[in-house]
Amino acid sequence: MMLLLATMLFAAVPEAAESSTVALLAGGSPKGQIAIGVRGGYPSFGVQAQVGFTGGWTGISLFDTQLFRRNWVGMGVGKRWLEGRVGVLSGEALLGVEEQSGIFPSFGPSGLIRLKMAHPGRILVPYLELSTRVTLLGQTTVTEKLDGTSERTWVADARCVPSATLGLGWAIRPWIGIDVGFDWMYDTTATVSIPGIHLGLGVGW
Amino acid sequence: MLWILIACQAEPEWGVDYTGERLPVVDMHLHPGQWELIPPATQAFLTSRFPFPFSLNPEGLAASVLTGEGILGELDKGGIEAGMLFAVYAPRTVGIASNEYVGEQLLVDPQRLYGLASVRVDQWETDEETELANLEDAVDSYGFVGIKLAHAHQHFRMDDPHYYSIYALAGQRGLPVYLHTGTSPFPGTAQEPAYTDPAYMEEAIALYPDTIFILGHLGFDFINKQPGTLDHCIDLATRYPNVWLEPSALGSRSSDPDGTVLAGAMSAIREAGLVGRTIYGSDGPQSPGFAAGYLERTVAAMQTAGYSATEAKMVLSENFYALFGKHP
Ligand SMILES: [Zn+2]
Repeated sequence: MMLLLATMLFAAVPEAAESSTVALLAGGSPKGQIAIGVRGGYPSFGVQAQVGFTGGWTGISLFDTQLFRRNWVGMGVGKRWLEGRVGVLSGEALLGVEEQSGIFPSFGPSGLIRLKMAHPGRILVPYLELSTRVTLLGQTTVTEKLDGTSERTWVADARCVPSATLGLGWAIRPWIGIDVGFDWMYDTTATVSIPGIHLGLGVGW
Repeated sequence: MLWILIACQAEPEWGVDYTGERLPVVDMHLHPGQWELIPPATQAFLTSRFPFPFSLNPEGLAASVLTGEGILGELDKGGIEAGMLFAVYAPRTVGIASNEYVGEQLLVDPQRLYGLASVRVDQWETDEETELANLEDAVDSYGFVGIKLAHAHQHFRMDDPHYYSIYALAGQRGLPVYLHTGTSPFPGTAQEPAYTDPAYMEEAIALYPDTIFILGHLGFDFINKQPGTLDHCIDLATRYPNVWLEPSALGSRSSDPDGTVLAGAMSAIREAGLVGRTIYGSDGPQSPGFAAGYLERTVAAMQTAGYSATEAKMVLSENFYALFGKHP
């Protein structure tokens, strides 16, 4: 965080043409431009594709998974709120579905809100992402009674998963870049959460 | 990442530092198991205790820490030289870790691993003889050194004479009996005093003076996170020389965040002059690092309670070897 703020404050003036790395890490693609980013690490893996529309809007589709056990897929839009030489701040809102496999399977509609901020450097792009994802789930409980009968109850439930990623991107060329980031995801179903790490690759044209 | 890899490769440093002395450690309370044999409600409970993202793949984590090999890895992290694996027959609560399964896990390192066999009691009226024979078979085949019972998880009263044949057999064969005492957070546990308060064991303790009874968890109330029936444990151990004590789980981060519960219990043991009959145990492996962490917490509790290095050494390993013998 400190590094990010420091870099934002003291950074050099960025170049005119923006890289696909900035589009992916800061959010928001210029009109008509496409960017695709892949992230892999532990526990998360994800693919994002985005395209710049008119009026500063960006269309986004996203697949994101943790250990391929909890999978999220959805689409939405993003828009830059603040844009300067030192920092870009954008917001994204997506709707999709979340599916969890394994011993406690679940499935439900899900919403994702994400705040992205980054320094749009020509080469180095430090960034911070804050997001929260809310999934509506139904919980079926089967109570086995001592007399041999069983009772089924269904209750609506929601799972909220806030997460944060702090990382650094490197725009190798305007059309290609990589990044490394630390991910922290809070899960309401677990007591504690251990941080993760990912490597990313982004291309754009 | 590299650091983790290096840490995993390094030979563990055995023992624990206690006021400048290096003391050997044995953990007498460890649960190997098979995830499939744990009832769903308990699987959910255990999963809720695993850190994210392990909670997404609990069976994977379980496989890596619940086997004999996994447990040895957990012991290594704490410099713990040996451990006792418990068999459990509680199909309705904590699940099953059969004598055969646990016996197989002991073979992973017979030098470092000891085992307590258990008895199935859910069809006791008809199967008593068979189950006692099974128990003896297991002891003879795998070299189990004692018996583990949990009245609360297995749903039989501590003062029910129908089950005294287990204590009688234990006495004849020289097999100490480890008992879960106190309430338990596991779904389906019988929480009433007759199942959880060791005062209900007194008749059996008096009737079978040749049987060693180890009161596990010191009667801690895991539901309300209170000392529970600690007084009854201390009282029984004071009056009966065949009663031993074991302070596992009550001092965990979740039950005892600031360490005062365990320190208080260790202090009560010392004041009652029962250090010579107290054996260290953690109730691991639970989650990665738990066994090592619990050892640290116990060492801190003993320091707070004023244990000398000699006393700490008794609790951490000497009493264990005095009771169960040391593998050659
Ligand atoms: Zn236990």
